[in-house]
Order: sequence, then C-alpha cells, then structure tokens
Amino acid sequence: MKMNICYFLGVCLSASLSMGCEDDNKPRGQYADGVFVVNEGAFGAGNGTVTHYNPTSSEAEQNIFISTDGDFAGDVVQSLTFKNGKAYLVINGDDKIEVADANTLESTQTITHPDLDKPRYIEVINGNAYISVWGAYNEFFSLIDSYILVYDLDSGSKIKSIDTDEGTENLLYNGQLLFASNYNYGSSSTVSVIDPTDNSLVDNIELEAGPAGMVTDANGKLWVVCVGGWGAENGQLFRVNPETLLVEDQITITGVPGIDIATTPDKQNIIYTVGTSVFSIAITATAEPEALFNADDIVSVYSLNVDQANGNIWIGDAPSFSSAGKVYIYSADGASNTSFDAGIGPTQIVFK
Amino acid sequence: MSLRLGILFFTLHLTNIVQAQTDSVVLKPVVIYGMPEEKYLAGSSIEKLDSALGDIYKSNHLGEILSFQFPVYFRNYGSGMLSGISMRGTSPQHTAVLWNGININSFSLGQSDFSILPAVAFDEVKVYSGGGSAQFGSGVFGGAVLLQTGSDEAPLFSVRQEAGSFGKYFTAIKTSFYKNAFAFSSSLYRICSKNNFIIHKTGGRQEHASFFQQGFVQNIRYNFSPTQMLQLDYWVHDADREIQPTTGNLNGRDEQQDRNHRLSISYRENSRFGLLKTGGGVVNDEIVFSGNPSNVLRWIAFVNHQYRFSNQWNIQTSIDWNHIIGKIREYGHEPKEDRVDIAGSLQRRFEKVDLSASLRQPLITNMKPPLLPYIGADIILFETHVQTLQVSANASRNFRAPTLNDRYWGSVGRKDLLPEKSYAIESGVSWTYRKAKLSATAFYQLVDQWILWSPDSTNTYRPDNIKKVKASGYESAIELQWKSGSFSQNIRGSYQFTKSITEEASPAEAASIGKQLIYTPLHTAAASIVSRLKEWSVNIFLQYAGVRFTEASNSPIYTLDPYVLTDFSVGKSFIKALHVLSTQIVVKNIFDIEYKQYSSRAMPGRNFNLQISYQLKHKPK
Repeated sequence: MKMNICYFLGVCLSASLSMGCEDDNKPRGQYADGVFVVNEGAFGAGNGTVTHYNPTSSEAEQNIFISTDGDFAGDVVQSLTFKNGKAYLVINGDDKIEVADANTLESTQTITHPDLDKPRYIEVINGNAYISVWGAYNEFFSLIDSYILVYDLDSGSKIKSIDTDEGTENLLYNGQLLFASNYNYGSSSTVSVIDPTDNSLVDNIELEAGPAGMVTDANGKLWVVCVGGWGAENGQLFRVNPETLLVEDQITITGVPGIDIATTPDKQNIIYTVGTSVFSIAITATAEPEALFNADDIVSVYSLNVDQANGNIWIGDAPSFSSAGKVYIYSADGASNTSFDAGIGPTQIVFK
Repeated sequence: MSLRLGILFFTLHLTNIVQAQTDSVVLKPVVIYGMPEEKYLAGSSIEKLDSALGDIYKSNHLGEILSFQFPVYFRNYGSGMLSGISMRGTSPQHTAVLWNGININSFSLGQSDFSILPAVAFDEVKVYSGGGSAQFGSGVFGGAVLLQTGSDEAPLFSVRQEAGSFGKYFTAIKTSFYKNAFAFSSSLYRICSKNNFIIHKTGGRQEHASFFQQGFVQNIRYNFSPTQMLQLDYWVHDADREIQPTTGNLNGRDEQQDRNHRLSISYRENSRFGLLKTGGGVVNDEIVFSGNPSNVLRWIAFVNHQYRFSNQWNIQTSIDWNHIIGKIREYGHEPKEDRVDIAGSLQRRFEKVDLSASLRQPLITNMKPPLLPYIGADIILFETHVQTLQVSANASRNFRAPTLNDRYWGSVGRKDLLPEKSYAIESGVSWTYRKAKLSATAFYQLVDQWILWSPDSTNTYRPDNIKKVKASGYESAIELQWKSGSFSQNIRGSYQFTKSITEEASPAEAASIGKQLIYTPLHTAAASIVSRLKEWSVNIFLQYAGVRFTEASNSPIYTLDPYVLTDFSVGKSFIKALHVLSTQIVVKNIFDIEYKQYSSRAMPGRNFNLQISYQLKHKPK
C-alpha cells in the first residue's frame, strides 16, 4: 500500500507539473477529435482497450490508452466519459478509474478507493465525480449493495455513497438532476434520481425489469429502455417527464432490446435495436415501429450510438469475448455501411 | 515384455524365500507388478519425468516443471495460480491426468488444475503424448499425465525443508517401510508463499497472490500370499489461495479453496488364469471460489484382467465404472451420471515388431460416445549391440465427454451435447546409439464437435459443439549421456512445432477460422543439462515458448511475447552409510526475464530457493 501512495503522489505531482507547463501553442493532441470505442476485453485477461477512429481518414488505431502497470487499459473497461479536458475511463474489473488528458489520452491519475467495487459509469458535475458502483456480491454472486459513489476529484476523497437498487448502471445528467438506471441484468426495475446540489436521492422511478440505456429527446424528456428479466420475451421503452418524474409513455417492444439507445440528430426519434434489427421510433409514437433495417453483417450487437453530425448509426459487434469485435457505421437509413476493427467486446461508442 | 513378466515371477518367488529366511524388520518389498501403461500402446511414447527435475522441484507444481522437459505449454494464470496444460496443440481439457490409474480431471470443468498437483505428492510422473482414449478413456487428445504414488525405492524416512523468495516455505516428511507382508508409506507436505514478487513493469509488488497448500498421501499394501495383494492408496490435498489479479488491478478480492480426496482400494491376484486386478474408489473434488462452493463426488469400480497366451499374445480386458454426482448449486438439482467403459487390448512382441491394438466402448447416461480403436506398432529396422533404429506409428479415434457444467449448468447446460471426437495419427523414428537417443515424430489430429461456450443473440453463453480443429506438427527430442569416473552428464533437448488451426466454427467464432488456437504456441522447446561430480550436482533447465495468440483472429495487439526461462541450481550431498544429507540452491529465472503465460498475469523475476533434506535409507538386504 505504501508503494501505491508514493506512486499516487508521484502521478499527481507529475500531472500538476505538466498542467503548469501548458501553453496555448501546444498542439491539440492526436485524439482531440474523432470517435472512441471502449472495448471491455476478455474478463480476467486484463486486455480491455480503447480504439480511436478518425472518420476523415477512416483509420482506426487500437489500444491507444495503456495503463501504467499493464499492457492495455485494464480488465473489463466499461466506459469512457470526456469532461473538462479530461478523459475518465472506468475499469470495472480493476476497480479503478483512469484519468487521462482528453486530447492526448496520456494517463494523469489513477483513482482507487475501497468503495470502488465494480464501478460502471462516471459523470462529473461541479468538480465531483458520480460513479455508479455495483458493489459486493453475496456468496450466490448476486449483487447486494449498489450505490452512486460521490467523489471529490480535487481533494481525492469520498463525499458520500448514495444507495440505489442493485446493479446501478448508466448515468445521465440533464443539467439539473442525475438519473441512474438500476439494471442488475433485469433484476432491478428503477431509475434513481439524484440532486447533485445536495447529493440527495430525490426519487426512485419505478419502471419495468432491467432499465439500461437513457437519452433525452428534443423536449428534454427522459427515455429509458428496459431490457426485461431473465428469459424475457419483451422489453419496454419509457418516456419520463424529468420535472414531475412521472412516466408519460410506455411502449412494449417485441423481443429483447439492446441495452444502448440513442437519438437522431434532431432528437425527434429514438434509435434502438432488437437482435440485429435497428428501429427508429418517433418521440410521439405510442406503438413500436417496423424495423428501420436489419444489420445482417452483425453477429451480436454490443453497443450503439448515433453520430449527431450526420445521423449515421454506429453499432459495436462483439461476436464473442475470445475475438476482437468490429464497429459498423450505417448510414441513417441503413442503406449502406462501412466497418472498422475494434478491440474485444466493443461496449461503448463515444463521439467527441 | 516377456522379460518383465519373468522378473515379476522371479521377484515373487525370491521374496517368498527371503521372508521365510529372515526376521529382519526391513524387508525387500513383495511386488506384484502392475501392468505398465506402455504395454498396450505400441507405436507411441510415454516418457518419465527426469529424476533430477522431480528432486529439485518437489515444492513446485507440475505446471511449472513439465515444460522444462516436455514440449508442452502451460497457461498459468499467474504464479501458483490456475494452470492448464496444452499438449500437441490442444486445450487443457484435452489432456487427462490419471492418479494411480484414476482420471482426476475435474468432472465439472473438464480439465486438471496443475497448480494443485505439487511434485512432492508423486513418486513417479509420466507423460503420454497423442491420442489415447482407447487406453485412458475420455479426454485424451493431446495426451495424458500419469501420476503414481507408492514406490518401492522410497527411503525409510526422509524430511525436507525449503525456504525461498517471496516468503515461500516448504516442509515434507515421508516414511516407507515394509514389515512381514505389509508395505506402508505415508507422506505429509506443506507449502506456503506470500508470493509478493516484484512486477517488472512497475517495480511494485504483486499483491493478493499468497497461497497455502498441504497434503497427505498414504499407501498400504498387504500380501495375503506371494500372488495375492490388497492395496490402498489415499491422497488428500488442500489448497487455499488469493487469486492473483491482472496487472493493473490493485484491488484483488477473489480467493479459492480446493480440497481433493482420492481413495482407491484394489485387489490383485496372479494365477495361471492371468493377472486380475479389481477394486474401487472414491474421489471428491471441492472448490470454493470466493465463498461459492462446488462439489463433485465420484464412486469408482473397476475390473481388469490380463492373460498371456502360450503363443506370446497378451490380452487385456477391463470394465471401469464411474458414478458421478454433481453437487453444484447452479445445476439446480444434483445430476447423477454413470460412465461405464468396456475395453479390450491385444499385444504381441514379434522378433522385430511390437504390435498392439485396443478397442474401448464408453457408455454414458443419455449420451452415445463413439467406439474407440487404437492400433500401433514399433518396428526395429536395424539393430546392433551399440545402436538401434526403430520406426513407430499409431492411429486412434478418441473422444471427450462433455463436462457436468456443459450438460447441467442452469438453463443453458445441454444434456444432448455430443461428445467431442478426434482422429489422430502419428509416425516417428528413433535412433539410439549407445547412451544417446534421437527421435522425431510427426503427428496429425482432427478434432470435431469441439464444445465451446459462446454467446447467443441475447448474449447468453451456451455450450455447443461448434468447432472443428486440425492440429498437426512435428516434435523432436535428443538425449545424451556420458560418464567418466565420478563425473557424469545428461543433456536433453526437445522441440515441437504445432499448427493448431480452426477449420470450422459457428458465426460467433468465425474470427478463429484459419487461425492458430489461442494460448497454443507454434514453437515450444525444453532443454536441460544435468552434471554430477562426486557428491556435487549442477543443473541448468530451460523452457521456451514462442509467440502465443490470446485472441481468436490472432490479432498482434493481444499476443504474448516469446520467452526463454532459465533455472540454475547447484547442490551437494553428504552420504554416510544409510544417511544422506542434501543441500541445494536453486536460482529460478536466473536472467530475470519478464514473461507471461496468460494475458496480463505477471510472473516472478529472478528468485531463489534454498533446500535441505535428510534421508535414511533402507538397510540393504
């Protein structure tokens, strides 16, 4: 532990030194733009990576972030969040958060804490990190204590844990409230609502089994996809009023939807998947639509996002966790696509 | 072979006379030879673990040792952690480990964890390479590792203490004696290590990797008469370890406890009707992973009969029965499975030709395993009093039964999974010239209906027979020995080239088609130089593994770099009458290289082990 503290201090020191040296003439860094793919890696193999894709040159570069002590980013790299000139990489299997310069992806800090037990996603609000944490398993490998860890990034200390239902997952901050979907592989069914001004739990919105991906639409309404419990044959899409925290609309989806959803650039439609079919549902719809297209090239949809510049639909394909996946870029209507190689288990696509 | 049987009868006869003539406490043991595995495997190779290796690395597990002699690869998930063998381009579940003839692979996982097979527990270790299901049963595609406890060469009493780097301590005590018709041998051992070695890349220490193991082995033989014997073998092994996390994980939490009981009781009788061996046993394997227990209980019974016809043909028939009970929560119930193997073998040594053929039919609850033939021959092409040139060849069909996990795991296990099956052929040539031996073997094996767990459209993992793999290659070995006065030297080397290519796979595994299997090096090699001068010994052991892919499409991003691992040791023995005191210093990884045997699991750099042992030998008869 002593080593770690020294090491930690050393990293902090060098980080602060390098910040002090920054000037305006410095190049913006090779990763200032582009698309970042977060690849989980094979569980227990420590080979989670970040892939950078340059849409202009159509070039992909693999394994762009290497942790100070490994050969890759870490074991089960879950998510990447850019905020305030920093990149925050949540390493689920390693129970830590790697902080890097947002433009160079050079490591500046490693956050570890006893309460970082299977962290999932991070949001940074007013200098505080809000980290969804699965917490401990019981002896049946069931989650028993999930929470949002509120962590002061400046002082490097825990502020508090906000208890949630088990398996708290995606985070969405709409400028006022922080929403956390409690997923737990379909065993939880709520979205926790947190007020970052006093770090209080405002409400638990009861939805259906397996709340996962969340987006806000053109009217600022919150959309949540629920993927169902074990063996489910249906999923649900919920539209929630972020002011009243009441459900305004519920659409039953035939089949099990993917856990990511996204909006079209005008935010008038929500994009989701079922199997390898891609759907676009209007935010005013009351019933599920026909499929927009079938992504026949894909074996297993593992991540989804939409390029807000042109509406292209990006899908991460993770056929298995013994082989590297691919990312397919479909035109907004699904008529054409290109693809590039990613790492093992492309779990998140981040546009910068 | 005829010679061996001759020795058998002679020994029995002689022992009887000796017993009648003396009351000495320590007697030459009464021996009824078990039939060696080689007998019905003409055309293939079984090689013993080098005695120097076995002696020096008593406190190490077999997954750290065998690669110093055999061209095999172990995927060790860190130092002292889960260790799976890869032989002849196959996966860990494709090598069977047998202890005193009983398959001790985990029936829930399918493979043996070599990290809980410490060398100290065995009196003999042999490695069989190639397809051998007709002889050894399920899961012998790459080969079989044959472990034996109970030896007639063990000293009356021995005690050994080791201390090593990273807080490693090892203690072993063993006694073996014979009284009247009894032969009795017990051994106790204990290994512990903080295992907090320095990680090359960071200079920091590996955390959360300590382990502790202890065990007890008991062998008792009772001779009712010179031709009738009852034998009991029992081995209990306990292991408790923190699971070494991947490098970069500063917060490891997982731990694992293993407890394995193995008991076998057998009766042997030699008569003019042949050699009969019958008995039974029980094996209980318990694993507790981070508090989550799994337990597999197995009852075993066997009958084996061998007979030698007057025309020199040997025949063996056997029936083995395993009743398996899977006590694993995720199964939802306690599945019970019966596995019965009926087998027969023929063997004959002609003047220049040794020929054998076997046939085995396994029967498994709700499964139809294939009929398993084996045929092989060794042919002496040229022989003089100083040299022999021999060619060998064999062909076999082999199978592997799905594991209990494959068949019964929650809602995804499938009772209708087909067994994996393989067709294997190999051919080799060996030349011995005085004490030098040179051999080369080419092998080819096609494995079909390979079971993999892969995700379905809802990302649920399910097992299925989805892969076909072609493993082919070449191996070569050399052994040289010379002796001059009180100086002797033994040099060994082995090399294997293996292409293990996926031919067919499901869409989810399509990336592997045409590619080398993961964790299966194209090139492996081993070498040793063992030198002795009077009571001094100096040993150098090397192992090499070529580049290993850890990703199915063989992406260069995920490869593990080749390495040569070198160990050096020097020892001295002090011998006075029946007393032998030995000391040894072992320097492991003497060149302090950084290497990995599994993705992101660090391995120790240079480290030291100090050994001291004392033996009291039996009085010569």
